[in-house]
Amino acid sequence: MKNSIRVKIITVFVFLFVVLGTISIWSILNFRRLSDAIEAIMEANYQSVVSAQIMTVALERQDSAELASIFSTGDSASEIFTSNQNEFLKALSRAEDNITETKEPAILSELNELYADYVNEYYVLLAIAESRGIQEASSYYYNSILPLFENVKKLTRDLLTVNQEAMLSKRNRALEVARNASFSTALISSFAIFLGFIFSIYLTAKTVRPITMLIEKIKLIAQGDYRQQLQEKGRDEIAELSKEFNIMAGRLKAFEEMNIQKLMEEKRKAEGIVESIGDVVLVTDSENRILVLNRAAEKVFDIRKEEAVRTHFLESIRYEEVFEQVKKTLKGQQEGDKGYADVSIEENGSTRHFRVKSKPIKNEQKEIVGVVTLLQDITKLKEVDAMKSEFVSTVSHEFRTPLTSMGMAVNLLLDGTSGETNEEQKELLQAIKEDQERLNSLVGDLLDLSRIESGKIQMDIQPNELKEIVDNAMRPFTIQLKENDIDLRVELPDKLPRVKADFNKISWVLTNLVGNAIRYVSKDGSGKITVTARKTVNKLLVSVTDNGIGIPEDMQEKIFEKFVRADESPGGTGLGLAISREILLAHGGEIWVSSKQGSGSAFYFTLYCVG
Amino acid sequence: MKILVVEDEKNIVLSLKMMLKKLDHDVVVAKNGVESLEISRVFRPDLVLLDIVLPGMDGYLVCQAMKKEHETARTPIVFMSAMSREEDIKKAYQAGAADYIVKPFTPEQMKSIIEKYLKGG
Repeated sequence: MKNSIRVKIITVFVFLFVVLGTISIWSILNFRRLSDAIEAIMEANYQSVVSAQIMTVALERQDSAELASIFSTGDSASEIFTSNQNEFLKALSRAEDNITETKEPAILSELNELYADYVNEYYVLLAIAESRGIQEASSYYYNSILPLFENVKKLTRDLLTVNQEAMLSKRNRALEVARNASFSTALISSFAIFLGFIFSIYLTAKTVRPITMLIEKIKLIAQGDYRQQLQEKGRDEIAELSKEFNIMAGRLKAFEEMNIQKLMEEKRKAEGIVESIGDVVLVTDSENRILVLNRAAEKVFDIRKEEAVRTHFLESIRYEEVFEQVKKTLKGQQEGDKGYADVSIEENGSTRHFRVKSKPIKNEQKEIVGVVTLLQDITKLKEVDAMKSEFVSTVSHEFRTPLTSMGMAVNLLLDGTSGETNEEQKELLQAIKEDQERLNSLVGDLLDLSRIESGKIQMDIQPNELKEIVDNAMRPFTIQLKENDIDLRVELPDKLPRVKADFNKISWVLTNLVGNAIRYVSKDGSGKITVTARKTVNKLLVSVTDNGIGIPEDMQEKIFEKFVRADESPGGTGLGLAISREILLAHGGEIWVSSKQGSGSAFYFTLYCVG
Repeated sequence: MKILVVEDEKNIVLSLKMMLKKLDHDVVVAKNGVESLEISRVFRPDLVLLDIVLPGMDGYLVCQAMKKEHETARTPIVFMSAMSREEDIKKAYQAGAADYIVKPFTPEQMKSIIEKYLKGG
């Protein structure tokens, strides 16, 4: 972790700070050199220039005072001369204190000499003027003093010139220093900036490169290529990240391999199952193209799997009835439908019967994306069914003939047609009569059930008013209820939608349910039976509720089976509820019971509404 | 009223004959189709009670034959059979049946049928 990204970034910054510092120090040094040069000028020459100027002015005033003193008497001129002499000497001594140029000492010593002469000449002139008159003095002035004056003046001017020239040359030097400083600063700055730039780019690239690589590899992994591995060089965060990344990629790879293996296994399993199913299995997609078919399908439809897969259903399988079922399922129109279709297919010269059942395949959004179609071979079933039907029909016919003669004979005996019978005989005959009647209805129900089961009784499903069905179903009870003190109520809400129902069959179911209820409610006046209905989403829920003896919980499902009765009370064949269930199944409806022993039962059934 | 009963089951014939005689009807029984056709020509029944399952000719053929006979062409023929399938009943009406009662029937059912044709006749 020592050579971390943090350290790298800090290194870059430190380097840049160092470069910046170097440039700053260099600039400061340059400024100092420049200011030194200027200072030198000030110290070395400016004083001398000023002194030279003061000397020139003082000299000229002295000269004027000299002339004045020739033509006038009085002390004022002399005073001016003397005061300017002081000025001159002060300036001269300042200049002498500040000798900087090589020519300066010579000029100054000469100046010193000549000025001393000049001052002496003044006093000579004064003496001449006094002794020899103005004429003589003026001549002396012009001949001796003026040239001297000019010389002194020239020397002060020389001093000025020397210093001015020195100033100029120093100014030039300062300019050169400044130029050099600018140049070198620019050079060093450019170099430092260039170096810093290169270094930053290098370090940034070096730091970012592993991250870029990581991004690339993660992208590949996201696309499903789990073989990606990163180099684990160095000890920084990136190396750490790379290490963890490699572990993750490895785990993902192993996981995926495991998944693929599992998937392949599942696929083989599923294929094995599909193949081993003796029924025809077809899987189609939302475009009705064949996706899967098994060996049974190949045989029955006389097609090859390799040719049929991916083709449209009807292209390979020319059975419209089968396709209709697939289409219906794909559209999700199975509501109220019996959910299957029976088709006959010619195979090797013989006709075989199949029951076509389709189930939709739904995705997570509950949309239908395909259909699984199963063709069950019901040829045997049909044959057996036909035999059973024939058998039941024959048996019941054979039963009914003796039952008819028994019934008539018992009735004739009971109604006294063939002579009077005593009470005991009547009682016995009554017992025979009751059991004859029971056998009668048993045979009738058995026949009905066998026909409904075999599909021989076609449901005539039409839109019907539930109220009319209920009224029709209640008709047989009007007399029975007057004899027994039972409160039978029909409580149907107004404006119920019409139901899809076979009028007579549903009426039969209701009659059967109410008949059962009457059998189990109390006959002492407290017995109560209610027929009611209510609308659910797309169905009507019809119920027959009683306050009778109820049904034990373990019997509540069984009572819909054949010959199962909740108790041993007389009457009933044990087939009524089985028939009712068959009728409702044929309607796409359901029937069930909710009951509590001792407090009554409620039978419910559902029927689809119209629309 | 003259009633011809075409029935091969002797036990049914026994009670039926007894019952009809008590109701003061003139009853003749035929045990098969051929016999019934022969009898009807002579007996000229006002009503025929006809079983379907008979030895030899079945009830449908008997009915069709009777409808062609001059003597019995207008005689109401009531089928009585243990066969209760719709197609059986339909076939009977197609053959010319006036009514169809399913065995087993009660004496009341039989009485009401006979009364119906008594009034009509």
